[in-house]
Amino acid sequence: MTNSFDVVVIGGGHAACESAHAAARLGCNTALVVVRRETIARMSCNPAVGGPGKSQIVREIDALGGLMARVTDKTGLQYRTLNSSKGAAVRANRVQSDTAEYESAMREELEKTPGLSIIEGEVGELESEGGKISAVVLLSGEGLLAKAVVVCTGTFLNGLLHTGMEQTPGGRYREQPSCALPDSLKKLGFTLGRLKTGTPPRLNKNTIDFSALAPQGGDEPPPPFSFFSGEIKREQTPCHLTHTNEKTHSVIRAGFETSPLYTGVIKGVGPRYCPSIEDKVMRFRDKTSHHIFLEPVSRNSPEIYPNGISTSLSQETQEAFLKTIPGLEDVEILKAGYAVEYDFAHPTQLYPTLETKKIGGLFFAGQINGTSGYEEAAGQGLLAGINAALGVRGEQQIILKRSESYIGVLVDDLTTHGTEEPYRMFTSRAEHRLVLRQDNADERLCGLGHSLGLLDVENYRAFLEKRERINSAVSAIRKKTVKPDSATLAGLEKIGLPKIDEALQLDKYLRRPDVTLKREGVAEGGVFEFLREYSADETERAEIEIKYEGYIGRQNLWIKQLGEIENIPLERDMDYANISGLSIELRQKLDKVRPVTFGQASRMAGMTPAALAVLMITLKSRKKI
Amino acid sequence: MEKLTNPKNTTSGDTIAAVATPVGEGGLGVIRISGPASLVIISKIFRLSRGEVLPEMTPRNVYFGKIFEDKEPVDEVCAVYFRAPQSYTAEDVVEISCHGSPAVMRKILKLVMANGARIAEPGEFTKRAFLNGRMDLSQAEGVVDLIKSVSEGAARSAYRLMEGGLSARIDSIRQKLVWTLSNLEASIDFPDEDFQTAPDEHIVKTLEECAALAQRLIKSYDGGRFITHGINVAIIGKANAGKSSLLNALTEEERSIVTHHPGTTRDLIRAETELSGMKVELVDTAGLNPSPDEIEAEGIRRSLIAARTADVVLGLFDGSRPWDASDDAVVEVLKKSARPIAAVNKADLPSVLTWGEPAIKPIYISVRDRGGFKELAERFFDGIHLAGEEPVVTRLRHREIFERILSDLTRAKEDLKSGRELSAAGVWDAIEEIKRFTGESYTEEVLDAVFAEFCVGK
Ligand SMILES: Nc1nc2c(ncn2[C@@H]2O[C@H](COP(=O)(O)OP(=O)(O)O)[C@@H](O)[C@H]2O)c(=O)[nH]1
Ligand SMILES: [Mg+2]
Repeated sequence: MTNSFDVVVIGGGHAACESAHAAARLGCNTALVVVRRETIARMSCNPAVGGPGKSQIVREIDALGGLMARVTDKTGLQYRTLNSSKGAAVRANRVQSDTAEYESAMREELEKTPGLSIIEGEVGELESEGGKISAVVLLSGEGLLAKAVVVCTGTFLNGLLHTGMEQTPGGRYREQPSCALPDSLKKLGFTLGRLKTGTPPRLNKNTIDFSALAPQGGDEPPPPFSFFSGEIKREQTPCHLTHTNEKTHSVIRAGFETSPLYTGVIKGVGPRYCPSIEDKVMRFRDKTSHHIFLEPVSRNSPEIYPNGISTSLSQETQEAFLKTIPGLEDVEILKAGYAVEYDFAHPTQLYPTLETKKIGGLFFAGQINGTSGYEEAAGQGLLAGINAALGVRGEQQIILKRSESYIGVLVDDLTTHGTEEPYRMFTSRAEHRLVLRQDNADERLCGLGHSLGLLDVENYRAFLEKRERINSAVSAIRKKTVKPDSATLAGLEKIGLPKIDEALQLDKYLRRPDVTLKREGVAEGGVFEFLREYSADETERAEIEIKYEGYIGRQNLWIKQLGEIENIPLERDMDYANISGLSIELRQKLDKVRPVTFGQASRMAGMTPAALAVLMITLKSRKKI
Repeated sequence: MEKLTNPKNTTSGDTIAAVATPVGEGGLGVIRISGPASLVIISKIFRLSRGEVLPEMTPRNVYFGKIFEDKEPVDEVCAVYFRAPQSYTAEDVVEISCHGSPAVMRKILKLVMANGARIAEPGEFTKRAFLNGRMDLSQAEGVVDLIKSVSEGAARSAYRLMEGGLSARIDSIRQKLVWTLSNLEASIDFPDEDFQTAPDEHIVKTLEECAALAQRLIKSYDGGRFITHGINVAIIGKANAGKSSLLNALTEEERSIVTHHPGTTRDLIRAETELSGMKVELVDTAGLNPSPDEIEAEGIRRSLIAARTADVVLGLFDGSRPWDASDDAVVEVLKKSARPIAAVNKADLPSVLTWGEPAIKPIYISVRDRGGFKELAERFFDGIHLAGEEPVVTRLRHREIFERILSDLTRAKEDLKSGRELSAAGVWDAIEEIKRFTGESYTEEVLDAVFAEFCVGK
């Protein structure tokens, strides 16, 4: 044993990057163990970051001081805002990334992080002493002493790739799986399950006829992810839209006999929200067409990612069905699509800090916990990295609440319920969605990021200043009265706003469903010119704050009401077996999940108010609250 | 779901027993035993018809035999075993049906207790059923109402609540809301997918349907409250109109003093009776005399308070005397009531009264020969929703929940104009309220309800 670290992070994906960066920023001597340095931050599936539910996580990572948003802003091919008409809380940024640039930009960020060493190697075994993690042993025989270890191995644990009836052991395309680590985890007492996910074939751009296809461009100006990126000045590249047809579907149906899914070869459970094209054809027989986004993978690569047709049919069938699709008549496949089956560790084995219940100092983050998506992985990686570092420093670890972040929702769902399919974030999973917006992630989490020492002081100051300016814009709007004089009426009409019959407070007017400030309204000569001194972002925030006041007030009240019981702590060593008045089934469940708060207990399946009442009485009588 | 490792899934270790059929009714009586010792107890006191020892009981089989006390047969009975958790309480339950004379039942119950059970508190079987997750909160509340019910009507509506009548109604609202949400949420979470979600008009229509259902339930509350708590009727009128006589006639007992001298009823007199299955509380008041002395004035003051707080105000007029200032005073009080009834009494005598208030239409009765009583009783329940098969809301807690649901849905409909996200927020809120109703949600309010009804933990 030669090397000794505070924190060792295993893996090189999106969870690992955030984890290692956060632990090092928190002052821990950190090692990132990755098989090959060039694969760091690889986007093994679609070349995009964000979307509903996910963009909020990316913004939260940014507010805490993580990397994903910043790196995404620097390396995008196309920037868009989704759901802009559906409401501020579900508005979501999405960026098509230049994956090659993303990888190198992320690697550079890690390389320049003080206290962080990148070590190439493959992990063979985790060692523990007295219920605490102690070391990571590489297959090379080298050992790394560690006070805390974060495992972020994605789909690599016993990974098996399927293309038709052909199977190749692998974690990703042409990358070896990890077979030693799953055994080591089992030896430590963890239960593993099996999941499946898939990816489409990659196509050669030069063999696609784009002339017949509808392009889809980015928004101008490009909306940035990071609160701290400033204006983005990058040329945007379009995606193209095409679609399958009945001919495609009949080719796919003919290829079912070589489908590992339909012949029962694949045992892992796949995600319902991201079905393969053969699944779509099978399950939605009435649908004669499914659309496909052709997404560029990098400026300097001929590779195109056809979003919407993930498949594990045989390579011949893939070729045959692709050629029936408009624009792809002569297409060449660069890499065949595949399904990947992999081991995951049931996440109910974790505390909501992401530390395992069995082994102190051992954390799991990312796809190993049964999630899917870069953003979900990165959010967990960040939390695990922070808590690993706090643990090493002997400080209280943090738990993010459902009412303050999507990361909190994600982790609470995983550690309370576990998951049976790859878990993806949706905005509908967040019961406090109206307060968990992407626009106010800074307000929710910059304070925490700053107090942890993760967020740059400079960025924190920028946040405070912006906060000041938003407050001042809000009070300017509240003070303003709009009068039905001819100039005002003309100004309103010019930007298509409804007219007013009598003078009224601007904030009242803004709360009407059909009224918004509009960019032209705030511009020079517009009716709301008095707000010109504020940036578009600031006026928008002020507007949301006013428009949503009532709703947010209600949600906050609810959070407060819940909060009283929600946050009552439950001892980790509670003796559930002896609570009389609870069914034996519930006692066993509580014993397994070991909820950390009364709120978490209340969300467990099978929990009834009566059982909660019993639990409450027990707590009171044991004087634990 | 994990399997139960122990089928004897009990909330507490002890075994309880009680007579499960109403007291004092002839025919059959049932004694219910619930808890882990149920089987042991029955095997000690029960022998099959030909005297054999009871074999291991098959759940839900009926066993004929006799209950013995020290080798002396007590009664011929049949016994049924319900294995946990497939029983009313989700514990092991044994039911003994016997011949139902109070003496026999007392004796069997004593035997059961001598062999290890304790007597159940009122509602304790239900409490266990609820604690073991056999019924939702609203159903358990129904059973509690049933136990406490004051009249036949109350028992009926409590029974419907227990059976899940309200739960079923709210479930249909919930299904519609879930459909609405799936459409709203799908368009939010999958903006790039090429599927069509229901158009706004369709969503508006569904929200309106749900709001109407909630509205119906809210309206049923008045009726529902009357069903559980009964209605309160204040009888007002001038002296000697026959108020006290009417109260006595309706309650069939001499509670009020009936005299020929006006002004006898100075204190309020209350009497309870049951009319068409409803509990009715009648209040007899002092006559409304326009020029009272000091004592009468106090009586009149009390009469007016009684009228103000009553559910129904019955103004009684004397058909055998001309209209006078006192009758005007009665009309004034009637006009302030939400449910006024005007009745002209003494229809058996020659009519002298000329009706003096065109806005109110009186009915004609005679207390002496009980004429017009049927119509009068019907008037008591006018405007009170006495649902036949319709579920009725009888608890304030439930009514408040439906009111919040209604306002959530109204908001959701309005907000569709400003975006699906806000609309969805209203629908989510409504579903959250539904969870409070069934007790799936664990807010302080729900826990309070649990504590209040079921003395959990004692
Ligand atoms: N003929 C006749 N006499 C009645 C009737 N109802 C009440 N009375 C008589 O009217 C008198 C006054 O009745 P009472 O109930 O004391 O009147 P109150 O002062 O309104 O309470 C008594 O002598 C009753 O017997 C009725 O329907 N017909
Ligand atoms: Mg009287």
